[in-house]
Amino acid sequence: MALRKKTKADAIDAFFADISTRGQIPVLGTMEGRLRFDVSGTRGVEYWYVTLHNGEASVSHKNTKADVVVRIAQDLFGEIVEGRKNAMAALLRGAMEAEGDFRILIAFGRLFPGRHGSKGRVAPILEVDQQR
Amino acid sequence: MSAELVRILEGNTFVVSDTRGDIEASRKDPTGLFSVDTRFLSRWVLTVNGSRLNPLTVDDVHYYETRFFLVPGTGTVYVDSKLSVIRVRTVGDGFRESLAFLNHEDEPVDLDVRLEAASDFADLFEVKDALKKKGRYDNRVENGHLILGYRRDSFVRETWIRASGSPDIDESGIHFPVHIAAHGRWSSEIEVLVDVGSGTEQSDQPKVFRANRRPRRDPARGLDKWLDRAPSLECSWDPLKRTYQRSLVDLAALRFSTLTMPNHALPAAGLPWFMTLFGRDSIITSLQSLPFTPELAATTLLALGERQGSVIDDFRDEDPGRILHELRYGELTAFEERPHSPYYGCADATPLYVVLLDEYERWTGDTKLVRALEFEARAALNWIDEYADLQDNGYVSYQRRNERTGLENQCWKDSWDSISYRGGKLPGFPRATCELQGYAYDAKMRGARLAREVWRDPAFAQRLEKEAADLKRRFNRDFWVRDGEYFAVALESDGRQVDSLTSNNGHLLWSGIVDKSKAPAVVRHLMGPRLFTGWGIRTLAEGEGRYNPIGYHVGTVWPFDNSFIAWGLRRYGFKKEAAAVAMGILQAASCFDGRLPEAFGGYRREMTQFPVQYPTACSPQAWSTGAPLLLIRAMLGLEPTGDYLIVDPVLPVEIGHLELLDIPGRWGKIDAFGRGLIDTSRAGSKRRTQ
Repeated sequence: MALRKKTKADAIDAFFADISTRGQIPVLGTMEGRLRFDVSGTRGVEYWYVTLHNGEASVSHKNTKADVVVRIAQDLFGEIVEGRKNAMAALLRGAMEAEGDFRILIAFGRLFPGRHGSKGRVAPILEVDQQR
Repeated sequence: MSAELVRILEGNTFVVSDTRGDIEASRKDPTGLFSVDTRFLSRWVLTVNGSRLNPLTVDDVHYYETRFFLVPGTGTVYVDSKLSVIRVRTVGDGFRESLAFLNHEDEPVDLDVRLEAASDFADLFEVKDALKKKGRYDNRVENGHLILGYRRDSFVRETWIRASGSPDIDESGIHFPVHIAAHGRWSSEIEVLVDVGSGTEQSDQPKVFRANRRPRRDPARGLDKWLDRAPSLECSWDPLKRTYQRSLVDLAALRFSTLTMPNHALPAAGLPWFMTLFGRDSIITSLQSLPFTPELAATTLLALGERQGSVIDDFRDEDPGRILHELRYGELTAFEERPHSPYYGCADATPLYVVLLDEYERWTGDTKLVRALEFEARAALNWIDEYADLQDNGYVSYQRRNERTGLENQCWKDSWDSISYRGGKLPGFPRATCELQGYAYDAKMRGARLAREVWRDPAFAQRLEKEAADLKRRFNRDFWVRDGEYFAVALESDGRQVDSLTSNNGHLLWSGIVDKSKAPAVVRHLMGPRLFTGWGIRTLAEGEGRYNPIGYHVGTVWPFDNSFIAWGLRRYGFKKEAAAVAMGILQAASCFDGRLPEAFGGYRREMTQFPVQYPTACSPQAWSTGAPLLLIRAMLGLEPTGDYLIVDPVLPVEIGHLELLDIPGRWGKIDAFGRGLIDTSRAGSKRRTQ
């Protein structure tokens, strides 16, 4: 099989596959609820349904009622799940739209990675400029 | 100048105008209509026959409403007008303005009335820098509205303006051809709505953020109910009654709702520029107001828990378990040019989160909330050891990873020169400031109590207590400045003590990390002439290299700082000293008509006779508003113990009789009484030789 470049669609597939197989996800806390992501790309709109229940996330394409509905372009969503864009910022600039219970969306947002390339530490600074 | 500006607000929508009610934004006068951290009007100017009006009086009816009484004509000290103009402005999802003209002549009059409107849609962060905008403006007249619009990709912000009486509308304002009969009256109702419309939808209705879409409550009734619910204070010293009332009203004005909890309020940090969720400020103010308005603490805990850090993100200085520093909704945040979505660069909010959760339960008995937030509290406790020990020495320290737009100083003294050696030299990073170790100790002790009594996890409780005891032992060894007998303000990453004498010592008493044997020496410093001015305790002691009585964190007196120090003095049994600090700050408050500024000058009291206000952008400031409340608690010695409230009053003699009625808590409602017996007038005046 020929190698092909990983697409944003692949990244989204991998993200949902990952969260649905993780089992207990502590950062979800006690949040319960259902989300629907309407991801629009070149192939049309793909619908992802996520249920948060007992600290686990389950994912399907099967139509169910959702407490919060998110509409987003595939490219942007791909960048969010890769840690290249931030979901809350996307929401503020209208690039991602959400309707319904925001508490569930914010809890779900804990599953998105931090900014790409983050290291968690920087080199100590020994001298500080004494004048400003 | 800001002293002459008029500010009104509701939630995070606020209007800053001149005394005519006009808005003409400039770099010097940051006026405007602001909402969701964006300016929606930068120009709003009323003219009559082409001329501006003159203000007669401004009546700040409520924090959300102002009345402007105006007359035409300029350039003379005499006012002999045949025309009066009244503008009444009320803030909501934008504002409403009732415009009324009264003709006092025996003849009818024809007037050209015009309201100029424009907006630059500046992000709050841009207001003072006048940055060039990257999007385009789009003003239009549609369906009887003047719509001022701004668009950058999918980011859309619009201002919708309409007026009653079918005026002429063009793209720069509204024109009213006005005819008023002899001794007649003309009026118009103008509505200005802020809109965060989306880039993809066309709509004939302005769309507002969910937090603003709540059913409009009547602010007046809301305020009355708020005041009714709080304990009532009776006292023979009138200034305290006034200060208490002022604090409650200002606290009401500072209430802020997040997107996810539109029907619950928490304290925002300051009015108007900091009307948003801040980790540190919201927690501190919730702690101060717990005995009076405990619901603020509950909302703060929930809102901060919701946004607790979950990943490592260097741009936002985020770590798992970390409590946020600041949340913003403006354009720069939306395009990730600023990290405030939210930003996490703050080292004290996380341990203080656990402290607030425990203190909240001790007062209210609300174990349901403590159980609901068990994960968040454990994550916060984990952050202390797992992510905050940047020097790998067992102490909490901070250093920003976002070196462009992150915060350099992540403790409450957040100015660039606030942490210094005696000689004035500044330490490097990471910095482990002393009060952070106190908060961490307290968080572990309180976390242990919650683990044992609510989460039923005695093993975790035992571990936390062991860690706390170990931290306390090391701290009293490593931070103690032997030749001065006080605690160093910080440790450098190479282990050296940053050895200046600061008010942070008082916070250490509050946290309980100070060995009992060391407390008397610490208190001698706090109440001694290098720190205590007569009004309160300075941030940095006189005689230190960077000391400056009007330097932001290097010599001024901060009321909030002093309120925690008073609480700390009580904790170690120094009741008279607590009363002296409380009295100094409360007397200062009476000089400011009951509204304490963020900080005031650190001059000796006998030198200025009057506390010298430090110029700050925000008033009221939430934690200054909360300071008198905590001082009242400290003077009355209110301490919840089991299902009881201990009352142990030690009051200054000037206060006379003090009663606080209907204090809410797990006991239902309780009254506290006290009588002033302590002479605090000589506190701090005794000079000690160093």
